[in-house]
Amino acid sequence: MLDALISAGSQTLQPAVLWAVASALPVGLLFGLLPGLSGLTAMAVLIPFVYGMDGFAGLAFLLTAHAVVSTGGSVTAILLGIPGSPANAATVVDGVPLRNAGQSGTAVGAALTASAIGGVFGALVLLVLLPVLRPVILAFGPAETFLLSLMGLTFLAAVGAGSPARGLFAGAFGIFISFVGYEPVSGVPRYWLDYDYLLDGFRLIPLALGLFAIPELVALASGRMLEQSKGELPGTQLLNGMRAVFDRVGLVLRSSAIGSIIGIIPGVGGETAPFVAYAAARQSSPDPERFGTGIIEGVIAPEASNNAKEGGALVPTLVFGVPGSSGMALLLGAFLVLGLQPGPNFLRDHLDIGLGLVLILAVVNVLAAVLMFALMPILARVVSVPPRLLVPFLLMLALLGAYSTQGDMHDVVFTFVFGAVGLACVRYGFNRAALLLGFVLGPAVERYLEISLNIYGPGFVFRPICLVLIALMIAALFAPKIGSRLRRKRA
Amino acid sequence: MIRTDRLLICGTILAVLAMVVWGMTIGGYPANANVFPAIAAGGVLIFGLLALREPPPEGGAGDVTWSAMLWLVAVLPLVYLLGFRIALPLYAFIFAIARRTSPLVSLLLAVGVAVVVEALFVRVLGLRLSWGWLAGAFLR
Repeated sequence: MLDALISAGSQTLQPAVLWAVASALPVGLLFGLLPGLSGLTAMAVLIPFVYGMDGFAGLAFLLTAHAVVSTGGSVTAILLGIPGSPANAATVVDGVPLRNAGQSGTAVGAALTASAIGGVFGALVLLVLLPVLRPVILAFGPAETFLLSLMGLTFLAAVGAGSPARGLFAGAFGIFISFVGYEPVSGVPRYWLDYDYLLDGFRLIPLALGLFAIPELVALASGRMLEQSKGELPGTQLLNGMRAVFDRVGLVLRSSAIGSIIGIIPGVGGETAPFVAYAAARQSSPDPERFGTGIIEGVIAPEASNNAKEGGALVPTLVFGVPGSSGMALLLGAFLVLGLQPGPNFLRDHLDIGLGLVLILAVVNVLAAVLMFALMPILARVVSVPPRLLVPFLLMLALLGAYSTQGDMHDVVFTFVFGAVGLACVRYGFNRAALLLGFVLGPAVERYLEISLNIYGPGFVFRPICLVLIALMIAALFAPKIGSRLRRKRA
Repeated sequence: MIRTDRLLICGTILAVLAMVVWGMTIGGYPANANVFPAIAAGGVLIFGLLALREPPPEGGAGDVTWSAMLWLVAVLPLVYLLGFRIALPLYAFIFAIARRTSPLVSLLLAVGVAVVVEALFVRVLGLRLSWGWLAGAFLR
């Protein structure tokens, strides 16, 4: 193991690898900053460039671009109120109220620091667990994945501020619209209204952009400035944000652990991790009602989990050759292009490459945060750009971001349709984050429950890990109430 | 007076329930394809009814105007007619001019938008952007 680690270190320091990392880092951050362009798009665009590259350098190139997207996206989520990628949607919930209160610097500083720590945590988890994780992942079958997805749904009410009934209503609506299109097991098309586009169901990026970007653009077009104070980001605010993260190490580590666990399990969906981390932070907070009104913990938790999940997602890809997400599926393709075969024998034959990827993941997360800190004086000026110049530019990015997912004009139209839904949510206090979380988790719950029932029958709930997950779910549901009652008694 | 949020909740509940009932009856979906939509619809119904009993939310997007919404939606027919490459810079120019921006700055904005569309989305991302009905007819 030590030999492999030394070999990995020396491979990582090769000029070709350093060059690959240095060129992919700004590309990944740019894709994160631009609304609608995800890590998946970054990988899809960059894959042709790995032909002819040395194997490890090519992988480092792609992994770097993919891993730092959410770091860039956090800045867009806070400064513009538009999630750079769907995984940054949970950051909007508290990031925007902080920005509106003139605290965008604190929020961005906290988000970047949490992202860096989360990314390093995810890489360390990968490093520690890589050699021993096989039995754990094998223990996670469809039944466990179903319960984990269901656990995510129990957090619907805890995402964001406002009335729980309205949050759950929005979440249930999000779940319902996720069922439009082919049923995952029988393949029956549902609620498609003889409209071919709906056969595959609604798509995530138009939904996320519609819910978050369009209401923000309408508010800007109505003459509202992005930041009430119209100030620039002072360095002290960024430092305050950093300090806020180090004052909440427990929260960062817990959120990172949530991200890593969700990343490891294929099928749950990486977009879930930040929402679950947010909800867990809220439930364990002594001040849960302040979440959604601009609390720094509401930025730290989703951002830490966001970057930590990438390390987790690498585990099934390397250990089994089973991609945990669509981004990892492309990385798997790149492995094959570069003549490497991930799977059970990969770590035996190429442990140094596996460990090298861990090192890359840790280093690029820190570098991305440092680079974004350095760029903040320039990026921060965006909040003081007059709306009359900002709106057409952001609208272009949002529309082309939606269009670029499939090259389909329907996605652009549905961005506006969901924009109307987003506006109604903002106007009447329905929780947009809950709607998005319901939409992400609905299909996973349905798919894995059906598979579990077909394989194990209704008794699947008595599988050991399932029992643990059920206990955790009950604890997550009732712990906040018990905690607040205990606090009240003590007071 | 009827509250708009209540109208919205009732409309959503009715639409969702109608779709589920349609799926079970006329749509003829098999039982397992109906189970989860029915559960989600149940959630919409129950939480919707609970939300109906609540007072209207405060604040919200109070500063949003109808004209701003129409301005944003106007880009859609423009894109259908002229395609992204022409529509987006043109839209940027008109939007800026209509908000009393100087013609030079508006022009620079339009050029900036055109450059980003062409350089980033067409050249780098390799997106095939349609030319729209009108511009496409001329270019063909």
